[in-house]
This record gives sequence, structure tokens and C-alpha cells, in this order.
Amino acid sequence: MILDWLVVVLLVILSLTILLARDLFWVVASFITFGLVLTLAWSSLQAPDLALAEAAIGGGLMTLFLIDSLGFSDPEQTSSAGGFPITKLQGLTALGSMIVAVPLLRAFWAGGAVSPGLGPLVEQKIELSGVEHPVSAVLLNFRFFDTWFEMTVILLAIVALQTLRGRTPRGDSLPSGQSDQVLTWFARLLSPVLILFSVYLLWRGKHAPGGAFQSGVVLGAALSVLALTGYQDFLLRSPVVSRLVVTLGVVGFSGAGLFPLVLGGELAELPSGWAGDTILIVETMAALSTGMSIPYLLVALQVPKDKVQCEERTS
Amino acid sequence: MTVSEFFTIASLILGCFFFLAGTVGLLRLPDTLCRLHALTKADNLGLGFIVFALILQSQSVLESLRLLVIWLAALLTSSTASYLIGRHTLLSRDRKDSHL
Repeated sequence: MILDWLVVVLLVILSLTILLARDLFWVVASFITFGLVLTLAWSSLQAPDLALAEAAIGGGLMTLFLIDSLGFSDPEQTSSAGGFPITKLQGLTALGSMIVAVPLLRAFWAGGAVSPGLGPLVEQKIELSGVEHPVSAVLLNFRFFDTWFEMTVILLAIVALQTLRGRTPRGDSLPSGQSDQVLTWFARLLSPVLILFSVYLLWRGKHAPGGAFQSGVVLGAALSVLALTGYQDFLLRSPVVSRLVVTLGVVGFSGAGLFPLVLGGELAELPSGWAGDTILIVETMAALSTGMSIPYLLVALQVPKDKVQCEERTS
Repeated sequence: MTVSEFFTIASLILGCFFFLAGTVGLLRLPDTLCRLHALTKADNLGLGFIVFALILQSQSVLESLRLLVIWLAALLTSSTASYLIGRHTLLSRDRKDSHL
């Protein structure tokens, strides 16, 4: 109980720091810590799926992207950004949060019976879904449509980021392809373990917390470590192939979503009996494309276009 | 109190002490290299003692092994990260000196 309150207080303090800190580096550091504390909060709420996703995405992935972005920002501009007086955006954010907070607080103080939600319904129909873990059943079968379009939104974001291709880092961004003996040794030791772990997470998603997204983020971490320590060939040698892998997730979801129409079923109605296998294939494709997207955004988009073509010619 | 309980409590207290010392060091020491020195103590010894305490209380061999692997992974990453931060500090210090 004391620990829970400590987590709550820490979350509030950290979110205030994120909104009000003057130095952008402080904002990023607080945001990373916020992700870790939120992981604790989810696990003490007994939501291991969310805790796992928050640890991988909030703690790992966001750290990588935010620290990398810091390298592109102008230090003079960032130190004066934020702080008092509160900007319009911060004011709007605070107002929005308060509007959400009022009914939440009312519900909290009113107490009363907690609604079971859709839990019993999912438990009842889980046999039909092809998987044994309720969260996977919801994500990949009952709410297949939602996950399908989430994948699409991520792909659209990557396409939009393509326009930033070839921006050059300002000073201290992540070193791409920098060789250092200790770093290389560590990358060679770590990446096989991470890749194995991502396959395990993918397989585990069928009956326990885990699944395509967590697995994809771990795979992405492994590939990013490789790409940042001098093994970026798998990304740059054939841009077409890496782009195809990035789109695999949407291809998989679209295939599984549209195919039932051919068989005379409904849109996104996974065939009964084949649901489990379909989900495994779609999840594998989604994990691969998530895993590839991360080093793609971090490394491939940062290499100027003419340089890629040079390396193609010489290889 | 059994012997294993005694050692668990002693080890937890020692672990917490190293974490506290590491945090104080991170906040109070003057430069990056000194702070790294303080932080690595928290990672290596602090986590080590806490993992040792948990192993004493664990129910199965598999659980003990898992805890040990967590400690080893933390050791590996923290030493590599400290090396990278330390190297960066040294290199940027040299760069600053050559400018002067």
C-alpha cells in the first residue's frame, strides 16, 4: 500500500517535471523514469501485458528515440523552451487532463461495485479465438480490426518520417557505425540473446503475457544495437528489402483481414479452426516489421540518400 | 529466526546501503567519472546483495538461477554503459583541452 502511494506520488512529480522543466534533457530523463515507474504501476495493478509493453516501449524504445532526437536539437533553443511562463500547449494539456481527471476522481471516491467489463465474455468465447491468453485473443481476434489499423497508423508515421531522410546530426547524436572494441563485443554478445528472447516472447503470446509487439520491440532493440555498432549492412545493402520488411505487418494484417471476404465470410472474421495458425503467421509478420522499423528509423533514415547509393555501388 | 532469514535480512540491509550510497554519490560527487564510480557500486554490490537475499528465500533452483541471470545481465550492461560514458567523457575532455 505504501509502495503504491509512492508510485502514484512519483508519477505526479515526474509528469510535472516533464511539463515544466526548462532543460530538454531533463524532460527526456524524466520521461524515461516516468516509463519505468509506470511499469511498476502496471505490475502492481496485475496487468503484466501492459507492464511488459511499457517496459519495452516506454523504457527501452522511447529512450532510444528521445536521446537520439536530443542530438538533433539546438542546445540554445532547447534550454529556453518550456519553463515558466507556461505555453499555450502546456495549458491545453493541463486543462485536458483535468477534464479527464474529474470523473475519474468521482468514480474513485464513490467506490461501489467494480464492473467486470468484457472479461467474462472473453473468457466464455476464448475457445473460438485460437489462442489461450485473453489479451492476445482480444488483440488478434476479437478486436482484430483495431490492431490492423494500429499497424497501419505506425506504417503511415514511418512513411511520413521518410521525408526527413538525410538530416545530419548536430553534434552528439548516437554514433552510427562507430567501431569500438568493447561496444562491438557487447553487441555481438547481446544481440543473439535478444533475438532468441524475442522469438520466445512471440511464441509465449499464445498462452501468457507476450506477443507480437513486445517481441517486435525486443527484436528491434537487437537490430538497433547491431546497426549502431557497425553491422548496419543488413539495413543499407538493399533498401528495397528493408522497406518490404517494414511493411510486412500491414501486409499480414491486411491479408488475414481481407481473405475471409474471398471465402464468403465477413471482413476480419478469422476462419474458425484456422484462427490459431492465422494469428501466429500475422503475429510473426507484425513482430518482424516492428523489429525492422526501429533500426530503419534510427539508422537508415539518417544516412543521406547519396551516401546509400555510394555504398551500394561499392559493395 | 532461522539462519537463512538472518542472512537474508543482513544482505538486504547491505544492498540497500549500497544503493543509498550510490544515489548520494550520484547527486553529490563533482564530475562524471566520480559519479560513475558511485553508480557502479550500486549496480554491482547493491543489486548483488539484494539478489543474494532473494536467492536465499527462493523456492526452486530455477528461480535462483533466474535471479542470478538478472544480476549478471545488469553487471554486463552497467559495465559496458559505464565504459562508454567514461570514454565519451575522456574524449570530450581531450577535445576541450585541444581547443584551449
